[in-house]
Amino acid sequence: MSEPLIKIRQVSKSFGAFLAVDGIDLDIEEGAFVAIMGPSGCGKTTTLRMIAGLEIPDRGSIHYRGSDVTFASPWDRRMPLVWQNLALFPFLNVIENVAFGLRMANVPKVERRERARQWLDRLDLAEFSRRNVTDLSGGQQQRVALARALVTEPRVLLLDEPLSALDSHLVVRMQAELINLQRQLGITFVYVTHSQSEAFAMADRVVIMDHGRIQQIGAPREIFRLPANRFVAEFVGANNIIPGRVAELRGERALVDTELGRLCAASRSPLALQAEVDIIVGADLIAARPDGAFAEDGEQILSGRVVGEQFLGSSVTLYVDVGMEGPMKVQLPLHKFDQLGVGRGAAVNLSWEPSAALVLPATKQKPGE
Amino acid sequence: MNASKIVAPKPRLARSSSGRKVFAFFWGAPLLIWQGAFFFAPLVFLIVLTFWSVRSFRVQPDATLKNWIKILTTDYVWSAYLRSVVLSASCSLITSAAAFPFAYFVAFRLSTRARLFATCLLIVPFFTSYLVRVYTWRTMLGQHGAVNNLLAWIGLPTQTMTDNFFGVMVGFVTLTLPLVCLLHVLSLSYVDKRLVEAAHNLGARPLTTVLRVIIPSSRTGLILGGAFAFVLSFGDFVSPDLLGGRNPPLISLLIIDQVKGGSNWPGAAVIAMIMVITLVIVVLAASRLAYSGRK
Amino acid sequence: MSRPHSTGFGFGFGAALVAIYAFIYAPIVISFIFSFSAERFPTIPLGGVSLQWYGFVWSDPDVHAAFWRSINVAALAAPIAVFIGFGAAYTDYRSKFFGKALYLTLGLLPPLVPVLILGVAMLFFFAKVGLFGGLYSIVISHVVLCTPFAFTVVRLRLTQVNPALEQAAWNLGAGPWRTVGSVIVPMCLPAIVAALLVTAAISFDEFAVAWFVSGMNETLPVRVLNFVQGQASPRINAIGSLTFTISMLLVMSALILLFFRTPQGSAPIDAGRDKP
Repeated sequence: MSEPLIKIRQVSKSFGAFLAVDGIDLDIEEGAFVAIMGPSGCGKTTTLRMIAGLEIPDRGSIHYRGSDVTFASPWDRRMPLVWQNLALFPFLNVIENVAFGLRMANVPKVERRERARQWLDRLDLAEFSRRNVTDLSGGQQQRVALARALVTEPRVLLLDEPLSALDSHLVVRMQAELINLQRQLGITFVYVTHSQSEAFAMADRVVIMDHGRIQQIGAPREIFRLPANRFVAEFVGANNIIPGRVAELRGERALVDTELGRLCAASRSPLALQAEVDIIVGADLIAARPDGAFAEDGEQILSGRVVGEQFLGSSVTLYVDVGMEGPMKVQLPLHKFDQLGVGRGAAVNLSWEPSAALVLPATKQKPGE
Repeated sequence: MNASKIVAPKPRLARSSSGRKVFAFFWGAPLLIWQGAFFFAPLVFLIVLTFWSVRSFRVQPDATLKNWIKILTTDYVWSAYLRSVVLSASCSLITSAAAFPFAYFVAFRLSTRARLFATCLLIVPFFTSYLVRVYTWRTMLGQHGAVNNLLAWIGLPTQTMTDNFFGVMVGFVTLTLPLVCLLHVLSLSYVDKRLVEAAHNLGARPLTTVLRVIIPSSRTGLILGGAFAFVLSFGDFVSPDLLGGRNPPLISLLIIDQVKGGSNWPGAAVIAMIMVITLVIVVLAASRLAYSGRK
Repeated sequence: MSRPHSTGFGFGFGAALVAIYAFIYAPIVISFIFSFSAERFPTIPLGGVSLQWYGFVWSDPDVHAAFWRSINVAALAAPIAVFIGFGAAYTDYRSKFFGKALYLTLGLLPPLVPVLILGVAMLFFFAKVGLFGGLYSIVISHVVLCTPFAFTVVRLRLTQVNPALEQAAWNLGAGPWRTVGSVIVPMCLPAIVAALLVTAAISFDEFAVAWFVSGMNETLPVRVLNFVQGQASPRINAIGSLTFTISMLLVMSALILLFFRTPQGSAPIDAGRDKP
């Protein structure tokens, strides 16, 4: 795999005074499932639309299979989009909707009907082929939109939060279908979402954006465990953030003075002494023990009082006041929580291994401003 | 499904901006071209024509103020003009005064369905021929027409209702009443009912509510209705002709006489321009009044 | 709120309502009645009932000719007006450009100018450029008058069309021309047909401008105008009833198309509500 399929270089886009996308660089490999994720207004949808040709970048370039397509018209690009609000044609029935792209490619009627029918079969929609699209349920319409995009056998499929309007039990099913399809077809998927769980469940690579800039690109696991900056740490997963100042550097470890005392954490980027940093500790990496119990050797220990708990099903998030500005979040599997047997107001000891904590340079301002 | 795909042709490069321009032009330009050539140009020509002259029954390009001076200093033009202004203003007042109680009832006392029906009944007349309606009035209001027959039957003296200002007014009202009623109904429907309720709640009696709350809230529609009535009746030539007798003439008839009677096109153009200027002033004044003090 | 509470003035205003409808509808109803009069000078009560006036009108060659001219003019003016109006509405819907407000004002101004002024101006102008006196003169002037209405009808429909549909078509390979044909026109079809019907009705009834520019080529309303200025006769009432019927048919069809068909694609497809 030499050249990436899609190359985005230094692309910026403003709408009036609002800078939606600020000089991003992104490579998308052929056959990858790439998720672009971020809060509302981060520029992810604008980026997708620029790939599709529905917006033109103010600066920068987009290359597809080696050719510069920055200014190519949307109808020349052959990168079908699965829309957030589906945008199915209400004046066409299901099979006509699906065949639309083929019609625009001037495929003869018999052939395009046949190919559309095959896709409807594949997505379990055959019985609805002559129905009006407005008669279908949300999940069915979603599949029609998918079929409409895939029938043209594109190399790239773009998806703009396609599952955001579906009821939750459908979302899980559709996610599985999408993953399957992508694997079977080997098509490149570029999937925009604001949902972390969706991105992590489906994508090979996740791109996190905020305020028009890319904050981090990596495999889901990498992003989850090794956030590149405070924004990513806060946006993804349940992370505790403890600000402090570097006191000592010891190889791959750093000793950091914080409100809670001197903490030891792993550092992955060069740090200066006295630099302001944030220590990131994943909530699921913290152990909680009843007051008085001892921790393992070498672990950081904090004591605190339980101020709240949140039941999430198979896990529970415990909120513990340890003397810092906000409570520490501790995520425990349900059975461990039951074993612990603490309730509100109880005293607990929290501990974690230094390698579970990550030191990141503090950002003076929110990324992107 | 095997992995072979139709090889996607490489996307074309730079967008054909000339193609897009043709597209935009094709859809957007006809309006400009057509209205420019057949609406705007004739009106501009009308202005230009006011400065041309007539020599030996032929209209010729010129740059003279002769026509303006002549018309503006002619007595009967001014008297016709003033008659028209007074009559149109009266029409405006009469229809506004009549339409308001009508609209009040429709907007506040009728159920939604009844209101819809009432509104449809107002729209139907737009599709009847105004000419035929005025003609029918003439037959009804004539010396031996239905109305006078009715009066005689009751025992009242017969009236002359045609060939006078009364007749013209009947015609004007026929022309403008449906539209003004419609505007009033729409305006009043948009009055926030909560304001009315609040006023009642604070002790305002119905009349006060009307004067202090309802009219100010719907002011825009009411004033525009009045302006429409003026504009429509000012330019009408059918009622002055059929119901007004042609003497004394109104300004619309003057124009027609000049046009159909002879070749004094510049003269007719001047009178038309006087009409236009009057109407522009009226509309601007009405807009000012209607929208003054709006946020 | 459908039943407002009592605010007084009930009886008086109710009477005003009746009086006004009576005034508005009196000439309409009476004209209709008079058209069936057996007498030359009908009055209330009606002397006798007869269809003679309809018969005269039917067999009058001038009326026939005028009627067909009206039909021809409407049949030409309506499509042209709708084409131009559609183009303007689509342009308004899709593009922003410098001077757009001016563009719209110029295009939509004609109904606000009194027909007398318009008629006179067009008469002079057409005479000067040699466009006077033919059926085409009337067609041209009617297109000027009717285009704003066609624009409004189509533009209203376009506000309901989800812009994503056009973009979806582009995304699936439809160029701008094909998008108009394959997406916009189908979405607007009821509105386009309604616009045709409404503009045809307007053209069919229009007498003022036609009277000025038509010269000897009378349309039906112009014929009526000439009749009316000549002798009184219930023929006029008969023609009035006929033209009223035709106009009402056209307008009713337009209204049905606009309001009573199940609106297709008026809102973005709402994904997610699972049907049972």
